[in-house]
Amino acid sequence: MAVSLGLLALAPALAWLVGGLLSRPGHDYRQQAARTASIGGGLLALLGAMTCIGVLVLQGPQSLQAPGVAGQLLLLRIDAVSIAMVSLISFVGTVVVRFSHGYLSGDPRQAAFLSYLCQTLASVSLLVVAGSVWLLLAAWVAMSLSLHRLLLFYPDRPRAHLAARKKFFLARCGDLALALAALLLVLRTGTADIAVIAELAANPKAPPLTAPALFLVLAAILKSAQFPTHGWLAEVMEAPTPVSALLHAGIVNAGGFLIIRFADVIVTQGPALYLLLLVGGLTALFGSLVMMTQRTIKGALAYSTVAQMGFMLLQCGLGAFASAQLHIIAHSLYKAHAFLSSGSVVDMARGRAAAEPSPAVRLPLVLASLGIASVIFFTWSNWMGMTLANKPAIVGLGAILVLGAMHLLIQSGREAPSFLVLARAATTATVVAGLYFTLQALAAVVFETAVPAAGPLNSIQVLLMGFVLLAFGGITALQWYLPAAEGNRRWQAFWVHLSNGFYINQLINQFMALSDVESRASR
Amino acid sequence: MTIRESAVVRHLPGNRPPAKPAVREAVASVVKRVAPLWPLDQFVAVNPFLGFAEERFEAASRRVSLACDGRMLMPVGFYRDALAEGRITAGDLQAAIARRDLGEQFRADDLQQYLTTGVDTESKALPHCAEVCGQISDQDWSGQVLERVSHWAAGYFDAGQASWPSPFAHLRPYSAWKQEAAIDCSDTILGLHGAQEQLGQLPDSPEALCEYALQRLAVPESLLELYLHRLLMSVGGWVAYARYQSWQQELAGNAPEFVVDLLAVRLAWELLLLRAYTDEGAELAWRRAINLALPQADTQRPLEREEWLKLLIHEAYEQAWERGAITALRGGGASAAVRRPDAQAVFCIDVRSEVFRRALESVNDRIETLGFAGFFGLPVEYIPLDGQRGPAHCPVLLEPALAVREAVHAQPEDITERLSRRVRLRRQLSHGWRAFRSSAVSCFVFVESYGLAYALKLAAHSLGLSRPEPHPRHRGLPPRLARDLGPQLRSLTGGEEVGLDRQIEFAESILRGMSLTKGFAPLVLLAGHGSTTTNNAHGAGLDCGACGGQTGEASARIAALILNNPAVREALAERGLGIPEDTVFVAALHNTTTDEFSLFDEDGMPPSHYQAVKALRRDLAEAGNLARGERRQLLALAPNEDVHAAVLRKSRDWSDVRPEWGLAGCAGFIAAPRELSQRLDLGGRSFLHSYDYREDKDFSVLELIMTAPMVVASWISLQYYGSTVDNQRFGSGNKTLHNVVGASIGVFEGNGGDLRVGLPLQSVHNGEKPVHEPMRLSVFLAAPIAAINDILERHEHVRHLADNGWLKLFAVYDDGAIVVRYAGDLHWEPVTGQDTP
Repeated sequence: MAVSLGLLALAPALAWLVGGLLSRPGHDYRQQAARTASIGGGLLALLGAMTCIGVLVLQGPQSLQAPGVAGQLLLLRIDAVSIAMVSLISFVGTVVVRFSHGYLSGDPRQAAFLSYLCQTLASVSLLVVAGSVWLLLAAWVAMSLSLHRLLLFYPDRPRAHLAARKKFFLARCGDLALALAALLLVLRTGTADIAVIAELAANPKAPPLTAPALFLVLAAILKSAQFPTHGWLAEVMEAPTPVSALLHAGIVNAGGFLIIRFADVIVTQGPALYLLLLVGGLTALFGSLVMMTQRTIKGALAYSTVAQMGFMLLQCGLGAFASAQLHIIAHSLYKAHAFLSSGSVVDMARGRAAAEPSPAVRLPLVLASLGIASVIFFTWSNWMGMTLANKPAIVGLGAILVLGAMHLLIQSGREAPSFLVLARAATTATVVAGLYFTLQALAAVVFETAVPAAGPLNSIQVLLMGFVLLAFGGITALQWYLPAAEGNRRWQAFWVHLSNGFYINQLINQFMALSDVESRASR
Repeated sequence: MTIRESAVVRHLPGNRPPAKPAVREAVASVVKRVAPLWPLDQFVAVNPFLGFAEERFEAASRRVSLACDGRMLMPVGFYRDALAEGRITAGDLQAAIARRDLGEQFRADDLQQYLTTGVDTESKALPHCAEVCGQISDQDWSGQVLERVSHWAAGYFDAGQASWPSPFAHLRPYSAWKQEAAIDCSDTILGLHGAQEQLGQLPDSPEALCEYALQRLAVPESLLELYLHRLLMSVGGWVAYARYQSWQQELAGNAPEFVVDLLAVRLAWELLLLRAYTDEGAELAWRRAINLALPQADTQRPLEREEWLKLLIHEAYEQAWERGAITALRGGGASAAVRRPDAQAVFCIDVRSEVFRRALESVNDRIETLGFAGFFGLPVEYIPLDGQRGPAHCPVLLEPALAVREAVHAQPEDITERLSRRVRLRRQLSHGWRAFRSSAVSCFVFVESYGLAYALKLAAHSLGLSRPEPHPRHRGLPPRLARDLGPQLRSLTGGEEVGLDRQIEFAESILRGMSLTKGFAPLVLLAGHGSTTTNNAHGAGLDCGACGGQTGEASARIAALILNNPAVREALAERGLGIPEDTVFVAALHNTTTDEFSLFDEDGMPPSHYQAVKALRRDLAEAGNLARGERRQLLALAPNEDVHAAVLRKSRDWSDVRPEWGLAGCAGFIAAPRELSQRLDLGGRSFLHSYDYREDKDFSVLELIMTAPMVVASWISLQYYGSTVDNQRFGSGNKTLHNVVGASIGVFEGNGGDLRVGLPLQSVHNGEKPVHEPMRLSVFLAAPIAAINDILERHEHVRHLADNGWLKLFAVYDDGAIVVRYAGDLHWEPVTGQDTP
């Protein structure tokens, strides 16, 4: 029984692996065999993931260990987090593979592309079901190595090499951090089983785990393109669009997954939480600001990912792991779609009438929208029984819901505010708020057994969250009053620095002595 | 303009700096070298060699290699394969030599020999200072400069991608750049010390900067224009976009030339680098580089042997196609029908129409087809329901002369008014939603609340059930409402928007323009064309690359409205253009992706014509089957795949990078009565314009054809040519890497680099070999030589095209039995037997 269940948890990874191996040959120009193999792998992976959901619902979470010494390595975990992730990867992977069939058709190396794609998906699928730290580490490294080949799919593009080299360097740092974390965890707890480690960590008499927790956070920061190591993410558009879709939807969130997987360890370690809060909050701010000045669709999407990953780690720092898991899934689906459909941005421009400059926002509109948004927010939160007292992280972060709803109302009504526009926008905002609270409640239930529940916040967390929210409020307001700032010297200077991402990437390039390669690249 | 004292011109020893008038002259001249680049949402097929038309093709080839770092012929291997496949024959090689009268210098064997042993030599572009400094410092400064200029220009010209647009966009480009550069710290980080203070010392106007910089750089006068051209092409995509902006403003009446600004920006970089590396010997190295380049300055010098060989081989390649076409024309020639046809169908001259016309005629030989410019001679600005201004539905060479409003078809005005309010509300709400989705902070809420819904979208798009953005034609309206929208000639306030006089004027010019002046059938179909592709950044180019990426729908509907107007008909009859009372004009849209037809405004049709329309629909559907069948091979379908299902799938597939082949393959242009080409299978490679010189007393129609459609066709053909021979320079590269810049301006290939121009590689290449055959357009005019010569004499730019070898001109007589070739300089020569073995 255990063996067959174990095989089931491995099924998606195996399906992708087989798909990847079968798509390798194929000198045939149409490369039909590779296509069949890769999509077949995808559909099998989806089937496996579905079955896993069934098993989870019927039998509950469980660990599956291979007998003997192999058990140290071959240990799989079926729980809400791993199954949610493996389903996500199977779905997004199948979509991306299907997309690549058309997108790279005619490319003489399409089969190789599909093969690399499947191999990467196999390692991600393995990563998320890993139950032992060693297996997790192995899959973590394999994922990054197979991705590397995809990033260099067009080897004659020097800029691809630059980005890949930078990514490679950071990924190895991340590997090192994770390896150290794994080693320390095993040394201090005496086991490689993640579930056992989690139990031990929750025990008041737990061994000291601050150091491994910090290494885990470090690995997550490096993997999830957090400030100031975000540069590579914005530069890897030198590979075909499906690679970006996969990267942004399935790989960059591995950092967040790592934190959620070890949530029981992290949650007991104050410094790890503060570090997550600090780096995540800073990255969310930084990423979303730089995003506003990006001139290319993929550049804007990349900085959006940086910001979203920051926000997700911020949630982790507040102990809202179920919310973070929900964020990973929702963001993956959104971002995969955004990249794959990035060619449609021109359709958007074609369908719209010539834009007229939007007028500055007037105070009454701001106040009205604040009123409407607050009413919507508190009605929903009361109705769902979520208050600042019982769910501080969710409700506290819910302040951004108020900001978001205000933004929706103001941007809709900005051109010509009327009752009709505001009423329609308020309806949309109500639906959005409803979805927000419902999904948060749902996530708390679904991931209840897999991650620690969001608990009370300590004063440092409250303080940090306060800062972040204040900054969020400031940025949102800035967006409304911006047209007035056009001629302002300080705004002009800020805009120039911002559109350069505060030169962080350039500094790192210079630091890594890669600048010359970069320029040779762009020729 | 004064230059501050600290920056007193200190020119390099050795080279004499150019005189100021020479600089001004060179700047003025080099600006005209640049072909404009229209944004993707108004895609225009532009001749990339537009600025070289005054030079001969072969001289321009040199300029392309020196200034553009590009090439104008295919690699030798391509022609080698063509010879091996029999695409070129020994006779073609011989004929190419004979045509140039080079029999004494070359024999066909020489060409064959070169084809077997010849190798492509890397031609060297002119140096610029950034390149020289790059060599000194072992840093690639050319790339860095391109990166920095491109970063700045993308922000300055942004058309809606960044939520926070550039606060310098109200300035002229050069001033904006200067202010921005003074703030930007990148130069310092890149190791360019002292750049900031030097920036402050640069002149404030772009013209003054050019003068100052060129004196400082001491570029000799003989090299001046070529060097400036080289600099422009080092940021060529952005320069082309700046040229477009100025082009638009020229139409509007005020014309600051933005190209000069970009030239100034690029020259400023040259100065910054020269200064930064002065201590490392940059000035000496620069002078040496300039001196080495001097011998190349004269692009007009006689061709060298190898240049001749390459050119002759290419001409043999073109000659091979020409030979086939001429042979076919001689054998063709149907007699004009005597009976009144059941219907006449007017198509755009677009090469894709040729396939369909042939199919339609073969389905029903009582249908006559005609070819005419797809905007039906109506330079319309079509104003959408919710806007004040609208896109021009005509070739960019023309300026819109009449504004037509969109309205709900055949409904009272209050319905239109109500719908327009609805559209406006919708736009406001969708603006709000997009802002919510993509703004800082609110994007987090968006993902948490709405992100999961994208699972459904991903699944639906993957299965072809939906598309990421609504089809531009529908603008997000429900399809039923969108279909009811159409042009109306009355304005919303009740007055005549397009007066009767102008309607009559246009009606006459339309009919005379396509030589349809008698023998009207009961039904005349006016078919515009459009495409349906999904998630395709270059989709507008498939609609109509000539008419600013618009479909022909509005034009066809307006033309039908005018020609069905009884008052117009009455006036036309007085002018000798009697249209029978039972003749009805019907507007239609030919979907070139699927070869399906939509008919418009049928509700105005008299009941007597219902049967005829029904029959026509049936014929169109059947012709669609034939036309799709013909395209089957090009679409590379699986052997058992149904072609109709396949084209529908491709039109909905968000991952398809070759949903249709557009105008790939275009090679010929024929202006003649349909009888001349009717029996020929031209393989969807010829533009067909209906023209009967016997109906054209003063040759004003011929003049129009030669100055407008023929020029537009040559633009299209040369765009395909450029994108095929050098996709890196004149095309936009690999579609799978495309990254749309500025919401609709253009694309980067990957993360950055220059803004790309032209067509994606996938539009001309199937992954194995080029699908477009790079050839200059062969134009066949069924008109008297004297009339053609007269027009050439009066239109210098057309004469340049013909005289300098940018297109090939032929006159055809006697139903194709006699073909004469234009030999340049208003001379014609018979096409000899040698040409057509």
